[in-house]
Amino acid sequence: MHELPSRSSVGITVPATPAYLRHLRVVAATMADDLGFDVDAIESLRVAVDELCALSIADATAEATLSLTMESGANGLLSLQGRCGPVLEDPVLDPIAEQLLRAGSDTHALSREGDHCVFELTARSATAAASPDGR
Amino acid sequence: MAAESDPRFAAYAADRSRRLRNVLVEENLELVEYYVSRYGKGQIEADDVRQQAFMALIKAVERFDPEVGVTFKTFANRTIEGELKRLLRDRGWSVRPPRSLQELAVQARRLEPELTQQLGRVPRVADLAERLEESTDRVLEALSAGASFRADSLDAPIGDGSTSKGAMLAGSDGSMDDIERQMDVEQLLEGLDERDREIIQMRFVERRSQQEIADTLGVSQSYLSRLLRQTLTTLRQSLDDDSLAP
Repeated sequence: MHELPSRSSVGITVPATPAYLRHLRVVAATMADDLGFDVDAIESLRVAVDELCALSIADATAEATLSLTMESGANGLLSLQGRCGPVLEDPVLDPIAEQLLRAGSDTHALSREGDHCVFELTARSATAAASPDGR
Repeated sequence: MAAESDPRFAAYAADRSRRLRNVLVEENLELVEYYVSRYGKGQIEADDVRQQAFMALIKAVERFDPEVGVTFKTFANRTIEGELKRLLRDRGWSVRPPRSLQELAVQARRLEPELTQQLGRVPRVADLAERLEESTDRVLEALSAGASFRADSLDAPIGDGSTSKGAMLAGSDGSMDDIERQMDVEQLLEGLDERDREIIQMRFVERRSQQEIADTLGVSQSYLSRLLRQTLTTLRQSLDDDSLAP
């Protein structure tokens, strides 16, 4: 694992279109790698982040942007907050999306605030969580 | 049910709508359950098979090209089957061993009393490995496999102090080699932190499913699965380190 500060934060804003989701996946995967997630966990997280972001932009207007802040905290915890807007409809968390999010995260939420869609997700590294400090 | 002529696959290929993809996945979930019933009863835990097959189904929907001329079901079956075979190759040995591993487990069990007498102590894995001309990893796998045949005899909590060793052993068949093996396992479990011990106990003693344990702990099933794998790897490593010590 790389030498990193115990807590770090990365923010990224992209146009709210599917073509930019890969940038968000890469950042999430990189931070997860730094936190000691194993390859399976990183893949699950990539899928979850992709799903949540894709749902948030599903009804975004052409000029909408998607802003994402990712924080790595103590005990291998990765937390992510996103905001996308303007959007035209309430976001819908269908059963398949729910299943993907459950597989790749510990908690997640998606809702609408005004003309924006907001979401959050947390995931924890099994390596860090398995240590005595990770309880 | 989706069919090769279902125009929605072409629509999805054109606009990559996430909602449409998820609808197509949901309508074909029966494929996942088919593979869970086929592969989820022995070598790999059903929850892990379900998760792998589910991800493979999503891949199939995303990659299916209606222009190629095969039905979606054919394509999805091939995709899921391939992913599950990879999973079986990666992990299958740890739950249901091939016959040669079972034979090795029997040989190791027979050798234990003899070695105990010769060495004046209970043999370590390295002792068994040397005599059997096998690697410690392989002997360890065999012993784990042997233990898995008697998992039901471990019918009481272990390692948390709430139950005595005698009570734990009361449910076994009472043979000395079983008792010694259970003592080894208990010693290893004592090296784990409390949470990991609880997980091992819930999974392998109480025989609860990964999903049930995940619900109890308030974590996702896939996260629980990773924790389990990691803890088992740690246990194997501990035993290996112990066997290498002077």
